[in-house]
Amino acid sequence: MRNNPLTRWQTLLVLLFLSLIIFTALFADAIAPLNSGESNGFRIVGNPLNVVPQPPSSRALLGTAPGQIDIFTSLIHGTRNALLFGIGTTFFTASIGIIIGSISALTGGWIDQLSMRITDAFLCIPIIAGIAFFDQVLTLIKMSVIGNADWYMLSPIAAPTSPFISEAQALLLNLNPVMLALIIFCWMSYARVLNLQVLQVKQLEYITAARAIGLKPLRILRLHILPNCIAPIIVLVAKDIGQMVILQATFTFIGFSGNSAWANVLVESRNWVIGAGGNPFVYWWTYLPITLAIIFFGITWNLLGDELNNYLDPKKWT
Amino acid sequence: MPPLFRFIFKRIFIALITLIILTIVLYGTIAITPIEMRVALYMPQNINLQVLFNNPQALENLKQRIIKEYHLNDPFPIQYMIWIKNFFTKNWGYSPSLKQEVLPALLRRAPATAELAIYSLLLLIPLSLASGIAAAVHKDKAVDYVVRLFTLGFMFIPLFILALLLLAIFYVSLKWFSLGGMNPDLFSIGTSIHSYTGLITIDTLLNQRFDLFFKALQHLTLPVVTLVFSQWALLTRVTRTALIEELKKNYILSAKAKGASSHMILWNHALKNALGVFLSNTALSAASFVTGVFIVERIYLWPGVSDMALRSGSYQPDAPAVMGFTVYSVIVVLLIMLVMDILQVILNPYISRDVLEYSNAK
Repeated sequence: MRNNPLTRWQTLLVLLFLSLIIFTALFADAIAPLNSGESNGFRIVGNPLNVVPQPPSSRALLGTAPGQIDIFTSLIHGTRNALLFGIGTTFFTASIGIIIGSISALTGGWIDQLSMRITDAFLCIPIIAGIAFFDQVLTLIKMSVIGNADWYMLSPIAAPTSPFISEAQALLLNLNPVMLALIIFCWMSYARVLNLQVLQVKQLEYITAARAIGLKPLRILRLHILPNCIAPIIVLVAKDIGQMVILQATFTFIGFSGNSAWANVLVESRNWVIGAGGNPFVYWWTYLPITLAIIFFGITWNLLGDELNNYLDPKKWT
Repeated sequence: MPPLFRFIFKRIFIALITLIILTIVLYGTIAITPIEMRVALYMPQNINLQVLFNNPQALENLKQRIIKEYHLNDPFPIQYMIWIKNFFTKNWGYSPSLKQEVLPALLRRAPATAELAIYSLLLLIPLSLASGIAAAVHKDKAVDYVVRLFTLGFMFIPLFILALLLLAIFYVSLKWFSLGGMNPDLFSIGTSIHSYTGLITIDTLLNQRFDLFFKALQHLTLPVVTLVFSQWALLTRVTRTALIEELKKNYILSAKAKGASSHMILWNHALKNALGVFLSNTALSAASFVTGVFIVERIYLWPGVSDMALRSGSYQPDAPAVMGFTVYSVIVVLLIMLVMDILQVILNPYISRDVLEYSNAK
């Protein structure tokens, strides 16, 4: 019989962590209120021209980064940013993977061969190359929309076309290249896993029965095949949400416009990580809380994946 | 033809098809950008901007000439074929931000990246195999717990934070290693020593300049260690799980019943079969390994290939450099995967029998 998952202490711990993250994300404005006109979770306390980080005090609970950015506020609002990014990216990667994996397995034949070959091909692109590439393409599109003084000096051919931006173009300008690249280069594992699963389930007798009574293929897929194949996908989704946020922070840190609120603070304080006078631990507050938050986020979602795996895998019910 | 060679040729053919699929996707994505931007990327090097600013007619003429010369207005398949032709005739385009042709710029930076990657792989594979085997053999004992704890930790420390912490501890506090990249004094040793391979460690040894060799090692150590630890956790866990699964199987039991020593069982029976899983996982994580190499390069300011793509980051249009970088890194990943697949067939008797007999029957 299936155990009640709530009796395992590991599950309870993961659920506690998870609710902590979601609570922080939902009530970020109440926990760390921003002044009017401040966005992106950056709250300035004190003189923004002062580059020396200030230690924790009553004004800034976890101290400040260079430019007097309040780290506590960034930490709280960064949780919301990370959660939205993780869930949003994973939603799209999983959708692409599910569509490609299931349709190819269901039709079979050369379509299956071709789409699995394409899936394997995408596995060969290092994510960093994909991100650099999409960063570049979006930059090219953006520049033709808004024009750019430097680029205009370099080449008069790409003169600004129009000072007005349409709604579609504004949407384009707000696209996050890191998110786009992660969506386009991370769906392969879903497609591969689901493809194998559907190929197995497809041969079972109840599917033949469903076909015999004349159900349409998509209805068979939706009602009879997918519910039996979705368990490993759910586990992958849970693990991927943490992974995507770690990747977002990494690529924001090395200079792509990934817009990770956590990594943005780390970028500001990167010179202080190395510390002053040969001691890296003097300015610990500039990097330690945010680092721990990123690691905590990653571990929580991964553990959730493990617990879901335990719960959803029939072989492990005792 | 021996079946092994036939397998290798088939594998190379698949790699080529993969490369073609990917370049179609990549070039197709570049092709959706507005034509003005693509024209601007092909601006001649020696152009008088001032004259063009004041003369719209000359500007329009130049634009039409570039469109015609580079076939920018042609249908996509023709554009793609021209790109392929240029690709194979080593004409990878001119990079405006580097003010240099793309291919020579890539090749000049490639040895530094190769050095980093080769030493990391040489350390990574034995290290993760050793710790994985140790953990699997002593399952649920102290060694196993220590390895599991460390792998769990290293799996979730993001690479860039690991790099920063190592930098802070070993460079700033302990002053053991030199900072980051091969700094200018090391790079300029090219003038004082004869360059055989482009790899600094090997060149210095061939020139018998041991002082410079140790200096190069000092620079290499931190990036290599960072890279090894970022990938070590995953591979160790894979090895451990595969070996534990293998040790549970019935043929191990029968080997035990026949009186084989545990040493014999591990090295002659279980490990050979577990190695297949290890190698295929190494091949699959080739892409993330290459990503790791580039991130480490970036953080330690290593003068490698990633410099090309990241220097022309946001708001600095340089499609030829980024396209060259992307294609180059895809080729590197394909090569690593190819070598791992061939090794897998050679080393694992089970798979090699399958693959080779299958291709014989065909």
